[in-house]
Amino acid sequence: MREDILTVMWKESKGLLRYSSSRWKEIVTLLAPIALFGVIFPIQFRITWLTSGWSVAVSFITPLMLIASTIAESFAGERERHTLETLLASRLPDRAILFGKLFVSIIFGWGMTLFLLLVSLVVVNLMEWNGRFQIYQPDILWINLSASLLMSGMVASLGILISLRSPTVQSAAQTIMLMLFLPAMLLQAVVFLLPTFLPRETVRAFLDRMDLISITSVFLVLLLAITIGLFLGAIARFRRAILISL
Amino acid sequence: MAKNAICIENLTKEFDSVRALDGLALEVPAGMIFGFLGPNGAGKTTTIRLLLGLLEPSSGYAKVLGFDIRTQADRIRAQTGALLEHTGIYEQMTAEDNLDFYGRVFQMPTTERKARIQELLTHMDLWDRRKDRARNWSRGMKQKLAVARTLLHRPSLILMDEPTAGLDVQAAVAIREDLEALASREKVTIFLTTHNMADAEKLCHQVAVIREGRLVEIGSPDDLRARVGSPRLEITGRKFTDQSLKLLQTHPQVSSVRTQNSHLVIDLLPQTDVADLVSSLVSTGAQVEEVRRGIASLEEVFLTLTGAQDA
Repeated sequence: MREDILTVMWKESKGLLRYSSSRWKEIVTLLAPIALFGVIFPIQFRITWLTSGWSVAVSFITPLMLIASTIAESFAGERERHTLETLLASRLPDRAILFGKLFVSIIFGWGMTLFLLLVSLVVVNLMEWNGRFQIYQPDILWINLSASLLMSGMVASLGILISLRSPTVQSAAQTIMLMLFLPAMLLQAVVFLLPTFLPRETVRAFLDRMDLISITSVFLVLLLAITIGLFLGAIARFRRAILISL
Repeated sequence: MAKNAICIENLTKEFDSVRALDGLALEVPAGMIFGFLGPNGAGKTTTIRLLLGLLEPSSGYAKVLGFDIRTQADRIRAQTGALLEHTGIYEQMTAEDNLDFYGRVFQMPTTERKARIQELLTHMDLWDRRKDRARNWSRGMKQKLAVARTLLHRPSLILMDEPTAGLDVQAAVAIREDLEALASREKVTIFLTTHNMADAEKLCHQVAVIREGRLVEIGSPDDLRARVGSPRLEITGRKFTDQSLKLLQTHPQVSSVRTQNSHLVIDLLPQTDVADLVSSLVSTGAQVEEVRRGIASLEEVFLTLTGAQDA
């Protein structure tokens, strides 16, 4: 099984970012987050980048941006380009195909986020050099590592789950975007509407008790539960007969 | 290997209210090239998908290489090469990477894999283009690459769905010749679906004709022609008048007469006395230069069996 997963990962890595219509689009997909979150933001925030929650926001957003733009290809792309049936007619076990595609996306999203955090660290040190190399605060570093990994896992699992049953890449991409941004918009609406239903003092007291670590930890646990659910859902939905007849 | 590479018994597949395959039963002996003929929508592709375990049958039973399609599909896929309706080539990858991927999928050791890729690409005249991305290739080249991929892991059985569909004449002939040479060299069983009668006639040791999901006939192309097609007479000559044609049309042993280019084509009933027929023709003043006995082509047999001539 391990060899089969690695084989699928090898193939996926050969095709990653090569489906877009132009080379420029590929380069922009990769360079845009690095330029924005790895260079411009750290220049803006300077040393607070290493001690505040700004880098944590980047750890959530970057995998979402990168994986959401590529994961629709995983199955819907194979279906659209008529390579899926041949792949399914090979000896590869279901889970090797599924995990191979999933792991490549997670490694891509997580790896790029870690690279970006490293670039931003170098940029902050160049801006704020005081004779020694400064690093992220330990709790911020831990949150960054786990948030980017879990976010990568969640977006990749959701993307795979949707792409499995989508007839085209476009429809997969649209559904993925909807599923990712709808909960975020709902959450935002709740945050805005909360003070109108609850006394202002109650809300303030609640927020005062919550620090970055607590809020993020709750969020990470929630993310872990969602990721596991989506992952199990993808395994359950992988049926060769249904994948072919779509 | 089992005596029969494929053994199908009463296999049925229904999609909602549509019965794509209706009680199909046939056996494909190991080591032969078997043609599965039928018009569009006859159930050919469904049969291949069922044999590979990509679809589950509604009822019935089939064994491929001795393995049950319901419970041992993974073992079937491990020992089978499949060239399906589409080539399945990854166009963003090079030709070499396409084969390398499937070599890894079928767990070929690196040295053997590299040597086999070189052997097949050389045989297919694609070795010099191995570093090209397949997206820039013609349909014929992609099809050749797909054939190479199908043979890569030396499968015991190859399932091919319309291997020459959409190809120009030269590419189709090249693929056919490659298949024939490779089949005899590699000693594999090839099960191919087609509605190209030239493929079936030149390539297949045995053919089965399917219509609306049911088996209509099975046998060698010669057997089918002899069984289903009527004997035929082709007469070259001059002065074939209306009187000559009328006489032939009313002859009790003649089923039809037509002129084709400058000769007469006469479809006969079995055991017709040809000498008597020719004498009658000559008596009308016709000058006969050559008389040739023939038999219906596989295409005509196919049209008869699939009912296309009724339409």
